[in-house]
Amino acid sequence: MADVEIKKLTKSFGTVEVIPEMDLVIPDGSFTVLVGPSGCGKSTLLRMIAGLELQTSGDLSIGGVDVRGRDPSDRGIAMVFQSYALYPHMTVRENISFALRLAKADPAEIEARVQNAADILQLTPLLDRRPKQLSGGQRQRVAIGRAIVRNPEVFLFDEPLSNLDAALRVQMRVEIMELHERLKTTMVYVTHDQVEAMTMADRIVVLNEGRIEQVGSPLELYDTPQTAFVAGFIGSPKMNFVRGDIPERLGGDLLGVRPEHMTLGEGDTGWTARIHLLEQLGSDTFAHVDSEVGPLIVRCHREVAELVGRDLRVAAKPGMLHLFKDGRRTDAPETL
Amino acid sequence: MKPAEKLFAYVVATVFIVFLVAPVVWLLSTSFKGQLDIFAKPPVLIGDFTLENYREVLTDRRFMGSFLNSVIISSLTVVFSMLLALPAAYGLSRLRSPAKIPLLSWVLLVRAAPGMIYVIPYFMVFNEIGLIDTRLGLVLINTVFTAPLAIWILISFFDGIPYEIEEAARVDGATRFQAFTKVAIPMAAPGIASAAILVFIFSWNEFLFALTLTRFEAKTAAIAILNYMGYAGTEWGKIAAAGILILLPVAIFAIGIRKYFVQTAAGGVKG
Ligand SMILES: Nc1ncnc2c1ncn2[C@@H]1O[C@H](COP(=O)(O)OP(=O)(O)OP(=O)(O)O)[C@@H](O)[C@H]1O
Ligand SMILES: [Mg+2]
Repeated sequence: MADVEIKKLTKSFGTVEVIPEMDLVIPDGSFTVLVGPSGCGKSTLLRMIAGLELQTSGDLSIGGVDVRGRDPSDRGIAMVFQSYALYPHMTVRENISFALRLAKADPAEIEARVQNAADILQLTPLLDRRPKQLSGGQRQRVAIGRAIVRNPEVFLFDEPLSNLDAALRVQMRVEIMELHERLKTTMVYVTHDQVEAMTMADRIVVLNEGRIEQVGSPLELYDTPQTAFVAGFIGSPKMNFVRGDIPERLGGDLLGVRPEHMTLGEGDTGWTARIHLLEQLGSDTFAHVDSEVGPLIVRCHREVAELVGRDLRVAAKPGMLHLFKDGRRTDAPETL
Repeated sequence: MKPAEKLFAYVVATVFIVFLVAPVVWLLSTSFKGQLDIFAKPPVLIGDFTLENYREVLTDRRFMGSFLNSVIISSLTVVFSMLLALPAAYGLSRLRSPAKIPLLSWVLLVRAAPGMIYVIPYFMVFNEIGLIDTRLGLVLINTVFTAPLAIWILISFFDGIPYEIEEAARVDGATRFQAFTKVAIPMAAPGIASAAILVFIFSWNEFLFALTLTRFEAKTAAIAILNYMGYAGTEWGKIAAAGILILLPVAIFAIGIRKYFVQTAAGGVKG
């Protein structure tokens, strides 16, 4: 068990600065998700923690130990790659035991640890197969098994589920969360999917262009996004944004309201609006409306279907406004 | 394909095969004929069947000695060029440097130059250091010519191994060398087999250096056939039988290599 401490870390590829300067502590035992758009430097950061990429400057310690200059295998980490990166010429058993065999562990010990990992991941019946005889989900479990047997202090995952189909992804998400419950080991998980981040993390680090936008629990990020970027990135459908006079009157330049914090009906307060599209999900209905302040998305009951084509009013619920100035959060009034 | 295109493809393939196979069929048929049938007019495809040619060739100490030389020289050439080409190809494949392309071109240039250019210098040097008419001498010069070929074949196989797999090996505690021997080499096995077979065939068929750099001791089978073209006339039956014997390993390998060329190293990565 160990925390990861990053101080004044920078990374450049040649003249391209990918991570300007970063300070971050990943607490011991946490499930920390690094999330951000493609190309923001998530993988690069993870690979620096793994030792597969060297930092340009700054400090990096794992469990209080400075790991600068240490080999990946000597940092107490294990990594699960997006492409699984299994050894195709080895059986599942050989894949999982490779690290232990390299370390010349005692054969009985190897057998016991492989068996233990196979039990946790339900791989026992597959131990003598080769990777190409496995499904995508099974391959990913083997990759996780290969990480487990090394008893790492920190697990690193780089978009491990992005090659799986939607149903399997949900299932593997739960399996990885259960694994964290069981092992209580620090896990650092990279994804560009904010839903994955929200559902899995106990801590989310939102990255944008190599900078940390905000660190916090999923609900902190959802309820009080500190930057306009986080406000727009976390949540699905996205937060509604209004620019111009209205936020300026309040002392900002961008006003945000989440779709579920808006009401849509035939009242006489709020902005005039008309429904132009309904998204029926069964549990929810999202109304895409054209309003006097621009297009908005509102979460409604399914009865809203009767209102299509009528002149309506859309309003924000009190206390649910997010106001930003120059991209940063500022105090917003209770109501408009 | 449209029917017309298909027909065209078949016609071209047939003409090609006829030109390639006809001499071999003729050789095969001659090797089983007696002296009379060989010159029969009009020619016969199958005459009085005899194994006499094979019996004589197989009991010819000189020819069989050369055959053994061919086996030894070709096998050693495979070993030597693989020892050179495997690390070279791996290194070049993993090299992230602007020098990569020029280096590769140099490797190919050695291969592209006509062998005749090398004969005289090699003859003079080998003469000085006593390598004329030795198996080692032929192995060395064959290696010079086959290693570049092997490097080019192997590079594409190493290029096909994703970096992530070797990174996984490094996380698992493998050194760079272990990542090479325990992951890259087994994953490139089909390529290594293809390269080894092509090197063997090249060395087996090599004629120019074997002719100029050997006399008696290190003579290879391809050269030894010339013994049957004597002042007393050419012994066509024996030539044909010896030719078939020389063709045999090449044919076996050619069939074996097919499997490797279609095989890919899929499975470890997605897909
Ligand atoms: N080896 C490299 N050489 C040069 N530039 C690189 C290298 N690796 C990454 N980069 C650049 O660094 C930036 C961050 O890359 P990184 O792979 O960390 O992004 P990411 O957040 O993981 O994106 P994705 O979600 O697409 O995986 C990108 O702009 C990328 O082009
Ligand atoms: Mg990435």
